Amino acid sequence: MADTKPNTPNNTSPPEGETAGYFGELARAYVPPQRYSQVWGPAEGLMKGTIFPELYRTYEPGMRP
Amino acid sequence: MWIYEKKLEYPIRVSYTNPRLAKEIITQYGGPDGELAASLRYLTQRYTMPIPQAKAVLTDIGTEELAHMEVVAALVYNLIKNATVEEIKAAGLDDYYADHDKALYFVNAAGAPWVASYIQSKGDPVADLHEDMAAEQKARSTYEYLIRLSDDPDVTDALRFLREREVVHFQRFGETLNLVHEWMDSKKVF
Repeated sequence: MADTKPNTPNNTSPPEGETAGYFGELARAYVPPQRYSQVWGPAEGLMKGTIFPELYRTYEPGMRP
Repeated sequence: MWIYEKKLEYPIRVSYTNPRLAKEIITQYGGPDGELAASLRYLTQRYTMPIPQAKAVLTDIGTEELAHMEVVAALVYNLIKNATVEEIKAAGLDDYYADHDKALYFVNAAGAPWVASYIQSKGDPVADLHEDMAAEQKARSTYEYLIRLSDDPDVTDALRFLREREVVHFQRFGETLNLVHEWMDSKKVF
Protein backbone atom coordinates (compact mmCIF):
# COMPACT_ATOMS: atom_id res chain seq x y z
CA MET A 1 0.00 0.00 0.00
CA ALA A 2 1.31 3.42 -0.91
CA ASP A 3 2.03 5.86 1.89
CA THR A 4 -0.73 8.39 2.28
CA LYS A 5 0.18 12.01 2.72
CA PRO A 6 -0.24 12.91 6.40
CA ASN A 7 -2.59 15.71 7.26
CA THR A 8 -0.99 18.91 8.48
CA PRO A 9 -3.21 20.69 10.96
CA ASN A 10 -3.10 24.47 10.79
CA ASN A 11 -0.94 26.49 13.18
CA THR A 12 0.88 23.50 14.60
CA SER A 13 4.31 23.91 13.07
CA PRO A 14 6.90 23.76 15.85
CA PRO A 15 8.58 27.00 16.95
CA GLU A 16 11.81 27.89 15.17
CA GLY A 17 14.68 25.75 16.40
CA GLU A 18 12.63 23.30 18.43
CA THR A 19 13.10 20.36 16.10
CA ALA A 20 16.48 21.37 14.76
CA GLY A 21 19.93 20.58 16.03
CA TYR A 22 20.73 18.20 18.81
CA PHE A 23 17.22 17.29 19.95
CA GLY A 24 16.29 16.40 16.41
CA GLU A 25 14.47 13.10 16.59
CA LEU A 26 11.31 11.99 18.34
CA ALA A 27 11.01 8.76 20.35
CA ARG A 28 14.57 9.07 21.62
CA ALA A 29 16.04 10.03 24.98
CA TYR A 30 18.71 12.70 24.99
CA VAL A 31 21.19 13.76 27.63
CA PRO A 32 23.20 16.84 26.62
CA PRO A 33 26.87 15.87 26.30
CA GLN A 34 29.13 17.43 28.93
CA ARG A 35 31.79 19.79 27.68
CA TYR A 36 35.06 19.66 29.54
CA SER A 37 35.67 22.99 31.26
CA GLN A 38 36.76 23.83 34.78
CA VAL A 39 37.37 21.18 37.45
CA TRP A 40 37.82 21.10 41.20
CA GLY A 41 41.01 19.65 42.67
CA PRO A 42 41.18 16.00 43.80
CA ALA A 43 40.54 16.70 47.51
CA GLU A 44 37.48 18.84 46.87
CA GLY A 45 36.27 16.39 44.21
CA LEU A 46 36.48 13.52 46.70
CA MET A 47 34.49 15.42 49.30
CA LYS A 48 31.81 16.42 46.80
CA GLY A 49 31.65 13.17 44.79
CA THR A 50 32.64 14.82 41.50
CA ILE A 51 35.34 17.11 40.16
CA PHE A 52 32.83 18.73 37.76
CA PRO A 53 30.91 21.73 39.15
CA GLU A 54 28.22 21.36 36.46
CA LEU A 55 27.44 17.80 37.65
CA TYR A 56 27.29 18.62 41.35
CA ARG A 57 23.74 18.35 42.74
CA THR A 58 23.34 18.86 46.46
CA TYR A 59 20.54 17.20 48.39
CA GLU A 60 18.96 18.19 51.68
CA PRO A 61 16.28 16.07 53.39
CA GLY A 62 12.89 17.46 52.53
CA MET A 63 13.88 18.49 49.01
CA ARG A 64 11.71 17.00 46.31
CA PRO A 65 12.85 16.55 42.72
CA MET B 1 40.90 -8.68 35.43
CA TRP B 2 40.87 -6.27 38.31
CA ILE B 3 43.45 -4.57 40.46
CA TYR B 4 42.47 -4.23 44.11
CA GLU B 5 43.20 -1.09 46.13
CA LYS B 6 43.26 -1.89 49.81
CA LYS B 7 41.27 1.16 50.79
CA LEU B 8 37.71 2.36 50.40
CA GLU B 9 36.80 4.68 47.53
CA TYR B 10 35.40 7.05 50.16
CA PRO B 11 36.53 7.00 53.82
CA ILE B 12 33.72 6.09 56.20
CA ARG B 13 33.06 6.61 59.86
CA VAL B 14 30.01 5.93 61.99
CA SER B 15 29.18 7.96 65.10
CA TYR B 16 27.71 5.12 67.14
CA THR B 17 26.27 1.61 67.01
CA ASN B 18 22.96 1.82 65.18
CA PRO B 19 21.41 -1.49 64.05
CA ARG B 20 18.21 0.25 62.98
CA LEU B 21 20.10 2.34 60.41
CA ALA B 22 22.12 -0.74 59.33
CA LYS B 23 18.86 -2.58 58.60
CA GLU B 24 17.84 0.23 56.24
CA ILE B 25 21.20 0.84 54.55
CA ILE B 26 21.71 -2.87 53.79
CA THR B 27 19.20 -2.44 50.96
CA GLN B 28 21.97 -0.67 49.03
CA TYR B 29 24.07 -3.83 49.52
CA GLY B 30 21.58 -6.47 48.38
CA GLY B 31 18.37 -4.66 47.46
CA PRO B 32 16.81 -4.10 44.02
CA ASP B 33 18.54 -0.76 43.43
CA GLY B 34 21.66 -1.61 45.42
CA GLU B 35 25.31 -1.78 44.51
CA LEU B 36 25.51 -5.56 43.91
CA ALA B 37 22.70 -5.31 41.37
CA ALA B 38 24.32 -2.26 39.77
CA SER B 39 27.77 -3.80 39.42
CA LEU B 40 26.53 -7.14 38.08
CA ARG B 41 24.10 -5.44 35.68
CA TYR B 42 26.79 -3.31 34.06
CA LEU B 43 29.55 -5.92 34.07
CA THR B 44 27.19 -8.40 32.39
CA GLN B 45 25.60 -6.08 29.84
CA ARG B 46 28.94 -4.90 28.47
CA TYR B 47 29.50 -7.99 26.28
CA THR B 48 26.72 -7.10 23.85
CA MET B 49 27.53 -3.40 23.56
CA PRO B 50 28.27 -2.61 19.90
CA ILE B 51 31.02 -0.01 20.37
CA PRO B 52 34.19 -0.04 22.50
CA GLN B 53 33.25 3.21 24.28
CA ALA B 54 30.06 1.60 25.61
CA LYS B 55 31.91 -1.51 26.78
CA ALA B 56 34.43 0.74 28.52
CA VAL B 57 31.82 2.86 30.30
CA LEU B 58 30.00 -0.25 31.56
CA THR B 59 33.30 -1.76 32.73
CA ASP B 60 34.36 1.45 34.49
CA ILE B 61 31.04 2.11 36.19
CA GLY B 62 30.49 -1.57 37.03
CA THR B 63 33.90 -1.55 38.69
CA GLU B 64 33.09 1.59 40.65
CA GLU B 65 29.83 0.01 41.82
CA LEU B 66 31.87 -2.86 43.28
CA ALA B 67 33.79 -0.22 45.23
CA HIS B 68 30.48 1.27 46.39
CA MET B 69 29.32 -2.18 47.50
CA GLU B 70 32.40 -2.28 49.71
CA VAL B 71 31.64 1.18 51.15
CA VAL B 72 28.05 0.13 51.95
CA ALA B 73 29.30 -3.12 53.52
CA ALA B 74 31.71 -1.17 55.72
CA LEU B 75 28.92 1.18 56.81
CA VAL B 76 26.55 -1.67 57.70
CA TYR B 77 29.20 -3.67 59.53
CA ASN B 78 30.43 -0.70 61.55
CA LEU B 79 26.85 0.11 62.54
CA ILE B 80 26.20 -3.42 63.92
CA LYS B 81 29.58 -4.86 64.95
CA ASN B 82 29.37 -3.65 68.56
CA ALA B 83 25.61 -4.07 68.98
CA THR B 84 24.33 -6.24 71.83
CA VAL B 85 21.65 -8.84 71.20
CA GLU B 86 19.25 -6.59 73.13
CA GLU B 87 20.02 -3.66 70.80
CA ILE B 88 19.60 -5.91 67.76
CA LYS B 89 16.21 -7.10 69.04
CA ALA B 90 15.11 -3.55 69.79
CA ALA B 91 16.02 -2.49 66.24
CA GLY B 92 14.09 -5.36 64.64
CA LEU B 93 17.27 -6.89 63.24
CA ASP B 94 16.84 -10.11 65.24
CA ASP B 95 15.38 -12.05 62.29
CA TYR B 96 18.50 -11.21 60.25
CA TYR B 97 20.72 -12.06 63.24
CA ALA B 98 19.11 -15.49 63.54
CA ASP B 99 20.46 -16.48 60.13
CA HIS B 100 23.60 -14.36 59.75
CA ASP B 101 24.85 -13.15 63.14
CA LYS B 102 26.64 -9.92 62.17
CA ALA B 103 27.84 -11.22 58.81
CA LEU B 104 27.06 -9.31 55.63
CA TYR B 105 24.43 -10.88 53.42
CA PHE B 106 22.65 -9.64 50.29
CA VAL B 107 19.16 -8.64 51.38
CA ASN B 108 16.93 -5.63 51.00
CA ALA B 109 15.73 -3.54 53.94
CA ALA B 110 12.87 -5.96 54.58
CA GLY B 111 15.17 -9.02 54.53
CA ALA B 112 14.31 -10.38 51.07
CA PRO B 113 17.38 -11.98 49.45
CA TRP B 114 19.00 -10.65 46.30
CA VAL B 115 17.72 -12.22 43.08
CA ALA B 116 18.97 -12.00 39.50
CA SER B 117 15.57 -10.74 38.37
CA TYR B 118 16.55 -7.36 39.86
CA ILE B 119 18.62 -6.90 36.71
CA GLN B 120 18.16 -7.36 32.99
CA SER B 121 20.63 -8.06 30.21
CA LYS B 122 18.71 -7.62 27.02
CA GLY B 123 21.25 -7.72 24.22
CA ASP B 124 19.78 -4.51 22.82
CA PRO B 125 22.15 -1.65 23.65
CA VAL B 126 19.45 1.04 23.62
CA ALA B 127 17.18 -0.98 25.94
CA ASP B 128 20.08 -1.84 28.26
CA LEU B 129 21.31 1.76 28.50
CA HIS B 130 17.80 2.99 29.31
CA GLU B 131 17.68 0.43 32.11
CA ASP B 132 21.06 1.64 33.33
CA MET B 133 19.95 5.29 33.36
CA ALA B 134 16.79 4.29 35.25
CA ALA B 135 18.90 2.24 37.68
CA GLU B 136 21.02 5.30 38.48
CA GLN B 137 17.91 7.38 39.19
CA LYS B 138 16.44 4.65 41.39
CA ALA B 139 19.69 4.36 43.33
CA ARG B 140 19.85 8.16 43.69
CA SER B 141 16.36 8.26 45.12
CA THR B 142 17.13 5.36 47.49
CA TYR B 143 20.13 7.27 48.82
CA GLU B 144 17.88 10.30 49.34
CA TYR B 145 15.42 8.20 51.37
CA LEU B 146 18.33 6.81 53.39
CA ILE B 147 19.64 10.34 54.03
CA ARG B 148 16.17 11.22 55.36
CA LEU B 149 16.24 8.13 57.59
CA SER B 150 19.77 8.73 58.87
CA ASP B 151 20.31 10.23 62.31
CA ASP B 152 24.09 9.89 62.06
CA PRO B 153 25.89 12.81 60.36
CA ASP B 154 28.97 10.68 59.59
CA VAL B 155 26.85 8.07 57.80
CA THR B 156 24.90 10.80 56.00
CA ASP B 157 28.21 12.18 54.71
CA ALA B 158 29.06 8.85 53.00
CA LEU B 159 25.49 8.52 51.66
CA ARG B 160 25.82 11.96 50.07
CA PHE B 161 29.00 10.92 48.27
CA LEU B 162 27.36 7.74 46.95
CA ARG B 163 24.28 9.68 45.84
CA GLU B 164 26.34 12.18 43.87
CA ARG B 165 28.11 9.34 42.04
CA GLU B 166 24.72 8.17 40.77
CA VAL B 167 24.15 11.62 39.27
CA VAL B 168 27.50 11.45 37.46
CA HIS B 169 26.86 7.90 36.24
CA PHE B 170 23.49 8.92 34.79
CA GLN B 171 25.27 11.58 32.74
CA ARG B 172 27.84 9.07 31.47
CA PHE B 173 25.18 6.53 30.45
CA GLY B 174 23.29 9.30 28.68
CA GLU B 175 26.40 10.26 26.73
CA THR B 176 26.95 6.56 25.94
CA LEU B 177 23.39 6.29 24.63
CA ASN B 178 24.11 9.20 22.29
CA LEU B 179 27.21 7.41 20.98
CA VAL B 180 25.24 4.19 20.41
CA HIS B 181 22.56 6.12 18.50
CA GLU B 182 25.25 7.77 16.37
CA TRP B 183 26.76 4.36 15.65
CA MET B 184 23.35 2.95 14.71
CA ASP B 185 22.65 5.92 12.44
CA SER B 186 26.02 5.44 10.74
CA LYS B 187 25.27 1.74 10.21
CA LYS B 188 21.63 2.30 9.24
CA VAL B 189 20.73 -0.46 11.68
CA PHE B 190 17.11 -0.48 12.71
